This record gives sequence, structure tokens and C-alpha cells, in this order.
Amino acid sequence: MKGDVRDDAIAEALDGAARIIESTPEKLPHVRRKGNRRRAVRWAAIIAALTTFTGGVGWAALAHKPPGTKPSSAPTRAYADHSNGWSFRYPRAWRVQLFTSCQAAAEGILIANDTNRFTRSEKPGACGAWDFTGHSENLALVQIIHAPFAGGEPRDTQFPLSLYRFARPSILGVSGVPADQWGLNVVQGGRFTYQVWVWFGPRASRTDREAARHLVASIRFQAASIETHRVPRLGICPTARGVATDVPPRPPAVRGDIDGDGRNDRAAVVDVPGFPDACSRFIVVQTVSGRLAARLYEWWAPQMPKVAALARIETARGSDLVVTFDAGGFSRQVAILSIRDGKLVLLTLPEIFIVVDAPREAANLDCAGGPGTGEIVWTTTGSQRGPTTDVLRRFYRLIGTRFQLEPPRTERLRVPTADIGTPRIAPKAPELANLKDVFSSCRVR
Amino acid sequence: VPDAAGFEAFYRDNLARIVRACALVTLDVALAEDVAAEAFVRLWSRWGQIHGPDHAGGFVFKTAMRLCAREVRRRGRAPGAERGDVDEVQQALNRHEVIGSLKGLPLRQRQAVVLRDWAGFDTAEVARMLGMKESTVRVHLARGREHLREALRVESENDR
Repeated sequence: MKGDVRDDAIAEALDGAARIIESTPEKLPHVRRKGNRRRAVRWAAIIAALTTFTGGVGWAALAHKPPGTKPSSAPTRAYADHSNGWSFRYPRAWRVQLFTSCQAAAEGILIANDTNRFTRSEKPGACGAWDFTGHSENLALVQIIHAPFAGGEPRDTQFPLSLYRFARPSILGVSGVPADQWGLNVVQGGRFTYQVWVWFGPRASRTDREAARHLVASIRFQAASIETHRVPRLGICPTARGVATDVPPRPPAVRGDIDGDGRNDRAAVVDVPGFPDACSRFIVVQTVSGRLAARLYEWWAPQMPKVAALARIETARGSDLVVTFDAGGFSRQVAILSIRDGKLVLLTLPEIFIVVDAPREAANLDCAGGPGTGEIVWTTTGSQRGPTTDVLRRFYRLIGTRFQLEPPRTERLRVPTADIGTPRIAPKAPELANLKDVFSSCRVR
Repeated sequence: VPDAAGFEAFYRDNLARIVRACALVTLDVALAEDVAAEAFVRLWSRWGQIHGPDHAGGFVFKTAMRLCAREVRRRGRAPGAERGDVDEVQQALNRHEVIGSLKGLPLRQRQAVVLRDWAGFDTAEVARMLGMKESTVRVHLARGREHLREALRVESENDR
């Protein structure tokens, strides 16, 4: 290789051409000015980078305190909800959000370090699941809610609650951030009474995890106040009169004017402890003038029946109680109760009314002809043919305490399948526009 | 504080050399003047960190070659392409026999030949300036020289 030796002949030829070009230093002031600017910009960039780096390191040092840092020194605030029966202490900077459980009257509370509002997942069948999409990856969230199902365990839950005794189920049906979750069914008097859930995002700080742990430890629930031996019984089952006397409608209770006296009453489904599951579920209504109770004969374990709505079906004043209980999948069976002659009675249904919150098998109940007319419509969907679905609307009239079918009014429709569960179907079958609520048009609560 | 007098002296002594080197690479006198000015701007902005004339020379050559390559690629035109409004100096340069030969060389070969044979840097320095291995520089040099010799009918002693 001859690359290391300079080629003089080529050098001479190139120099002959290059010598044509003369240059004068007239651009020197411009070179200096621009050079000065460039130097200033470079120094500014260096200073900005150093400032950013120093600030970042400082922030990281403050944000990630060393292990053992106690959040107990952080200011906390006390929270007590006597109607729901829970109390706790939580960091002042955290946010509290109340909610009503999906398809039920049960109330719950969320306490989180995230100021964004939590919303439910829109996914079909994801009833009750939170959609964490868009929330911070630093999320720390505690949820307290009434136990959504019946049953119990012989050993009551020990307080203070410890996160280490919580179960860690895998995350299913949750959209978005959380990396892990803890859950605990609280047992009081041998019955499940509350659930406590804790979620953490993948980047939840040690401080926030500690704060959540302290919050959980501070949770207290009102002790179960029912003394089972006092409830009068007939055979092995409690009597409705005995339940009405001894068992108040414990939270979660639905509030509204039920007996028509213009004042708020409370209604709740109770599970009377100490009795067989087959006869321990009652609906209890607390009015100003007294307490009423009626046994719920049908329901399926482990889900507790729920007061789904107060609806004005027949009564000109007051309202009827609509109770739903899970019937598998998206289906819920419906029972309707009303106060008649000072008694809480279960209205007789000619068939099993099932409502389904799923567009493919949608079914729903509503008042027909407005509130208080005593007429209801039960709409079910049938076979799907291509882009359309058969819909059957059956009308019933309440006579006394019994609903009776009115065959001539039955309607058979064919609607676009995509319209079911949307406002587009309202002109034809308004009860199928909102599948989440029963008796939407005459609902009081 | 940068030494303004020292920079001015260096600028006056080396401006022509840098402009000529750039002109041989870009084959465009106006572009070469602009590139040389920018190379000196960058040299002045770092003048306080420059240690002596050799360091300054290496810096300004390296910067100028990098800017030349960038401008040639950016403008996307054939090196030394004829323009309608060229001045007398450019016309004279275009008429020169060696310029016609340089037009046929790829950019890297032209840079290698100009830095090694015209500017007199050794192969290692050329490699540093162009950001390539010495062996690669030698390959570019060999191919560039072969093309130029053939075009100029120059036969070096080594070839004989």
C-alpha cells in the first residue's frame, strides 16, 4: 500500500488549482460575533443540563426516601361514616370518593393518592370493575365496601387489619395501571360484612405503600349488633315479625319514601345470622311509624339479594321495592314488594322475571304508561337473525297483589342488534336503552 | 478569556488554506468560503479550550471537512456542478484540468486525497479527521490517486 507516501505530482496539480482562490479576512467580525453567540448558547445549555440533573437528583432523593421512613409523621385526617359503619384515618393529601356498587344499593368508598376520579369499566360483564386507564403508575388505592355476597366463616376477623393477612388474587378484569391487588372479606358474627381491597400501581412509592398499610390498619367497623338468640323463631327459621322487631335495616340501605308519608324510609336486605341460609334472608323496611320485614324465598348463594330500586309502579304515593338477585352470568331475577295495609308483601309474579345486562341476551323491566299506572312491560330478546334481533314486549297489569299478563298488548318487534343497550332503541323499546337499571321510567331511587 | 489577538493571527494565516481545501472538496468556491467561515466560528467559540496552533489547525480542518461533507450531501447535487451565475474565480477553477478529474471522485476519496496529498497530513491524522480507520483511508487514497493519475496522466515515481 502506498498511502503513507505523499504523492507530490498530485499535490502539485491540486495546488495549481487551489492557488487561483484568494481569500480576505473580511468576515472576521462576523466570525467573532457568531462564535460569541455560539459560546453563550453552549454555556447556557451546559448550565441548564446541570440544573436539570441536580434538580432531578434532588427530587429523586426526596421522592424515594430510604427504607424505614415512617409516613406516620405525615398529617392524616379522620373519616367516619356512621350510616355505613366504617371509620379510618388517611393521609391528608389523599382523595376520598364515594360510590354505589354496580347493580346494587351497596355503598363503598375509595381512598387514593390519585386525584383523578375513578370510573367503572365499560366492558360488558365487567360490572363493578374499575377502569384504571389513565391513572398514575404511582397509584395507591384502598376500597371499602359492604360484602357483596352472603356466607361467613366461624372465625371473626381480627383488628387491626393487616395487609399481610390479605389474599392476593391475580388481577382479572381490571383495565389499566395496577400491578397487584390485595383483598379481604371481613367476618363479624360469623358473617361476611365488608370487603377491603387495596391496589398498587407498578411504580407505587414505598411511602404510599406504607401509608396504605397504615390506613388499612386504622379501619374500624361497627360490630354486628344482632343478637341472634333474641330473634323469635318458628321451627328452625326466624319469623318475619321477629326480624322486624329485632333486626334494623343495616347498611347498605336504600333511602326514599316507601310508605307514602312523605318522609324518608330505609330498606335493606338482611341476612339474619344464626339461621339456615334457606330462610335467613329478609327485606327490612324502617319507616317513621315502625319496622316491617318480609322473607325472600328465592335467591341463590353466594350472592346476597339487593334492593335494586325504589319504583313507583302502582302507588300514587310512596314506592314499591324492587329486589334483584343474581341468576348466573349477566342475569338477575326480580322480586317486587309493596306495603299494603301496613304490611310488607311480596307481589305475585306470573312468571320468573329475569333481567339481563348484556346486549346479546338483553331483557329488562319498566313501567308501561308512566309511574303509578300499575302497568309494567317485560321485554326480552330472542333469536338473532343477521344484523337484527327479535324482541318480545309483554305487558302486565297489577291487580291486587298479583301481576297479570295482558296478551292482546304483546308486541313482537325486529330491531337492529347494534341498537340494543343504546338510546337508538328508545322509540321502539325504551326499556332496552338502559340495561343497567330496572324500572328506569318510574324509578324513585 | 479567549485570546482574541491570537485567534485573529491564526485566522489570517490559515483562512486561505481552509478555503482552498474546502474548494477542492466541494468544488464550489462560494460554498467553500461559507464553510470555512463556519469552521472558524466554531473554532472561536472554543478558542479558550484550544492548546496551540497545531491543535487549532487540526480542529479547524476536521470541522471544515465535516461541514463540507454535510453541505455536499445536503445540497444533493453533483460536486462542482455548473451554475449559471458563477464568478470569475469559479470559472477559472472549473477550467482547471485537475478540477475536472476531481469531479469524478467520490466525496470520501476526494477528501482523502486533498488532506493527504495537498494539505500534507499523515494518514493517521486524515483518519482521525474523517472518522475512519487508517486502512480505509489508504484504500480511498489509492483509488483516488489511481483515478487522478489516469486522468492527469501523471505517473509517480513509485508507479514507475
